Parts: sequence; C-alpha cells; structure tokens
Amino acid sequence: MNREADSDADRRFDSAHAEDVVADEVRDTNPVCYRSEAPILRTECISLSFGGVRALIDVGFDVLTGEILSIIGPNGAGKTSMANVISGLYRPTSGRIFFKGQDRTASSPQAVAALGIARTFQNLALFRGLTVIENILVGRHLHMRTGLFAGGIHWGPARREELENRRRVEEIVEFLNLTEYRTRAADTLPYGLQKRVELGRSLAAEPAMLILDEPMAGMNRQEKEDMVRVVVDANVDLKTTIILIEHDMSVVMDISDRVVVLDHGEKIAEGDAETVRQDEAVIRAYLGQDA
Amino acid sequence: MALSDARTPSPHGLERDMRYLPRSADRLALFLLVVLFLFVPPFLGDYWLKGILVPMLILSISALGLNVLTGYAGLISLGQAAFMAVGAFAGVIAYGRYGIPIPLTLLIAGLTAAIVGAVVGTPSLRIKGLYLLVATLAAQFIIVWTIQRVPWIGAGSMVTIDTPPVFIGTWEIDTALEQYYFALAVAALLTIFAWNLTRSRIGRAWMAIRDHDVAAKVMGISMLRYKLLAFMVSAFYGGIAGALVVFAWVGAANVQEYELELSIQILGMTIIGGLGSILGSYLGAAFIALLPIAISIGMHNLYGIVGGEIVSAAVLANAEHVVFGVLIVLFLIFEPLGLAHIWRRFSARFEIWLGPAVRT
Repeated sequence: MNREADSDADRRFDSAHAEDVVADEVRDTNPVCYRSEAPILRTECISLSFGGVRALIDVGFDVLTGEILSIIGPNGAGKTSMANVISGLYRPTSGRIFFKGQDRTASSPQAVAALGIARTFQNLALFRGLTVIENILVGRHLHMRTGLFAGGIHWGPARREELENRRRVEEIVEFLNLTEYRTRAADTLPYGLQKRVELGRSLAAEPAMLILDEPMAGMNRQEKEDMVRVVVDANVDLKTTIILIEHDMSVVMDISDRVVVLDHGEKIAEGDAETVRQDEAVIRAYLGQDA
Repeated sequence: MALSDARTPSPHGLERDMRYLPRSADRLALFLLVVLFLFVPPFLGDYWLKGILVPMLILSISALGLNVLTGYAGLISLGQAAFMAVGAFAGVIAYGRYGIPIPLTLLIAGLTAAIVGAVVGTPSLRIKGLYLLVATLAAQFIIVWTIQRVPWIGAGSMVTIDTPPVFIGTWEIDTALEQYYFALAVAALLTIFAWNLTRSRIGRAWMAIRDHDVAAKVMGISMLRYKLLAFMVSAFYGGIAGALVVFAWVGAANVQEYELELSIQILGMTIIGGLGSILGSYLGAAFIALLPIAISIGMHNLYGIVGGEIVSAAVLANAEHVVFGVLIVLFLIFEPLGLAHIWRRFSARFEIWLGPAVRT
C-alpha cells in the first residue's frame, strides 16, 4: 500500500512544524478571553493496531485551549481508542502526542493525569464501594499530599488537608446538583446520576483538559439536557478545555466549537459543526452508503 | 429527621462527615466493648486469657493487616502467616540475641516483615486474583522454608527459639493478665492507625484500585506505590502479630505455627468478619476463636441427644475444619460483606429504633 510511505512523509513534515505552531499564538480577536488558537493538545499521525486490527490509522488533530472539541463517528470508528491513547492507557503504535508543547507520547496514565488531563469512561467506572463524596475525593488525589504516617495519625496536617479538599468537593457536589446524594454509595444511584458523579470526580482533579467519553450515552432527553448544561458550564466557568466523544451527532452540534469525525479508524472530516454536517464523507459514514 | 442537616455542606457538616462513628448505636457498642475489654479480663481465668482472648487479639491484628491488603486494596494473599513468622523470628532475634527494648523490637519485627512484604507484593503489579494467590502461596512456603534453613536465624532442627523473660523497662510481663493488656495496648494502637489510614487519601487510593484500577490510574494513582504500600502495611501488621505470639503468648518463635493453614485461617477471618472493614477483622477473629468452643459444646449436646460415644479431640478437630469450610462458603454466597455488614444493618435498625431524640 502506498499509504505507509505517504504517512511517513506527513509525519516528518508535521513534526518539523510542531514546535512553532505549538508556541503561544493568542489572537486578540477571539471573543472568549480564555480561548486561544494555541493547541493545548496536538496529536500527530496516531496509529494503533491490536494484532491485525487497525483501530486508528494516522489520525491527527489539534485541540485548542479553551474549546469544546467533539469527536464523533459511528460505532467502532475508533473514538474510544483515541481517548485511551490520549489518556495514556494505550501506547500508540506510531505517532506522537504533545500536551502544552511537550511530547508525552510515552507517558503512563498516571503521568498524564499529573499533567492535567482527566477523563470519564464510556461504561461506568465509579468506585462502587465508595460514597459519592469519596468518589469525588479520589479525584482530588493529586492535589493532596497526605502520606502513610500522616494518614494513620490523622490529627494535624492530614486532617486540615482533608477538610480543605472536602470543601472543594462540596463545591463540585453543589455545582452538579448532587447534594442530596452526597453520602449514598455510588453504585446505588441511577445511571444518569452515576454518570454525573463520574464527571464530578474528573472535575475535582481541576484538569486543564477533560475527555468525556460518551457522557450522555443511554440517557433520556432530560438527563442529556442536564449533562449538556454541566459540560458547557465546566467549559465556561471552570475554563476547562473539553474533548467530547459522542455517538449521537445532534447532541454535540450545539455546543462544539469544532468537530472531528472518525470512521473505521480514520479521520474523515474536521471543522465547525455546520461544515461537518454538510460534509459528504460524513453523511456517507453515518448513512452507511457505499457511494 | 437527620437527613436534612446531613445535606448542609457547612464546615460543621464536613466535620460531621469525618466522624469516626456517625451512628449512636456504634458509639454505644464501642463504649461497651472498651469497658468489656478493659475491666472484665481480671475476673477471667488463665484459660480464657491464654486460650482465647490473647490469641484472638493477636489474630485480630494479623487479620486487620490482611484486611488492608485484601479488603481495601483488593489484593488477595495467602502469605499472612509467613509474615507473622518473619515478625516472630525478627522479634526473638532482636530481643533475645541483641537485647533491643521490646517496643523497638516490635517495630523491627513489623518493619522486617514489611520489607519482605514489599518483595512478595511485587508480582501484584503484573497479576491479580487467582494468579496472585498462587504467587503469595509460593512466598508462604519459601519464607517458612528459608527461616528453617538459614543458620544465622538459628531456628535449627528444633525450629524453635525461646525468648528470655519479657521486660518493658522494669515491668516484667509474665502473668497471663499482663500479657493480655500488653497485646490489647498494641492492638488498640494499630487499630486506630489502620482506622485513620483507611479513611485517608491512602485508603481511598487503595479502594479505588480495588473497585476500578483503570479509573484509579487515570486519576493519577500510582499502582506501584499503592499496591506495594498495601503489601507492606499488611505485612507490618502480620509481623507485629507474629512478635506478639512470642512475647505475649507462647514465649517462643516456632516455625511450625506459621504454616499455610494459619494463612488460610486468617483469610477466612477477614471473609467471615467482613472484607474492607476494620470492625470485621475483630469480628472474624473473635468468631474463629470462639468457634471451637461452640462446636465442642454443640457436639457434646448432639451426642447427648443421639447417644454417640464420647467426643474425641480428633472428631472435634475435624468438625472444626468442616464447619470452617462450610461457613466460608455460606458467607461468600449469602453475606459477602461478612459479620460487619450484619452489624451495620443491625445498628441502622437500632438507630431508627432509638428515634430522632438521640441523633445529634
């Protein structure tokens, strides 16, 4: 196949230009002050194979600081694989990832978290035995310092730190309207609320960038609307850059600054919602025509 | 009702969330237990102290350690008895051979076991569940074998080292009652430490790994650090329990006491008592300690009814094994959260029964 040679050339081209594009380049004309044209995240020619299966084929895009970027595509398009690559759970077979200008392709999930990237999961990934508050407190892990001895003694610095972080958690609980469930065990909550707790947990980390993997899957309309509101609030009030992965195109069109469309592991379109909506390749992918 | 004020996220509400025992039923129970454990033993005979209470306390400490590992961090282990053996021999060597004071000796016993625990825990970074069980099983045998074979340890062919008379400062611990209070003091300190720890950032990291390790990783929790930490804390508790066997119970370190059967028994205690519960470790140990007595009484009555022969020690020992096995299976099926969960349900009922008047 010719693709291999082509992509190699692309990769060289892209990495040569990476540094100066990544450099700060805030445009004054931008109406929202926290948004900028500087990418917070850049993915370059990401390929991912599992044995013979190619989950991602030379996918690359920028995520601009402060925007909501949606990744959409039909089932099996590679959306979640991309999220896993960005959050460090999968090491890409080839390609590079830059976060705030730094190459972090080989970082572990834990190192990625420390850089300020948080995420939620498509299938519920709450800590089932913990209460709502405790789940969200785990999100504060990297903001806390308490070690073995301080934790075992509790009184003193550990208690002060615990109280301080619990106060932050209460703010998030209130922000997400979870107050009346705060001490309930996470796995006793209805599905939509569990999704919200998971969002709360990732927000508690105060990430610079948040990856939401189908946060609205399996929700009814009311729940979806609530979730959309929370996502927009997180973006506007907390100034969090958001990558929103969605299966359902209609949900993302209203709130996304830009949309990336994946199909069969390849990027088939990128642009604002309207451009993408009218893109022929996108229509074909969604309607399944072999034109 | 109390629900409304539990919702207020005021600083006062935060303190409320962090209370050790939110339920008055629990506070009452703890108060009764403290009174019981402090003031009743002087009236008990040596049989109760040496035969039941002291071993129960020691096994509680060990079960508490294993519960941190298995119940909180979700890592199963069949090596707890081996960690106790490490602690027992480290203790008897430190105190008997080098004359290190007892409090320091206990610390050395715990730390030595913790180091061994870190090594034994290394496979947990790659494997879990059944495979980890087998790896710790191997460690159990290797550790016990090593203690017997290394000449420096001095277990020798007798596999036993006696301890000299036990002094803390000028206080000689030689009566059963003194040994009991000594064990109780150590158990109390270690329980408070574990209680705090499991409610802290560290404990939450462990539970996060237990409930969803991928999500835990993504929240920035280091598997290496927290899994090994769980193994070390668990082995530390086992090591101190092992040292207490020497200094507060049998007066000697004997390899044969720390065979696989004890590891299984301790694992059984945490399952029956309640995984992921401090209280459960005690309930499990108490249950297992009292089980032989209950079986003995039960068998005598049964024989009285059906008119069998005299109950022999062999029959009793076998009955113990059978009942122990059956109980673990029953608990796993019907009450996987153990006795602690039964108590929690009961105390919730009790709380409602007490009514809103006592809820502060």
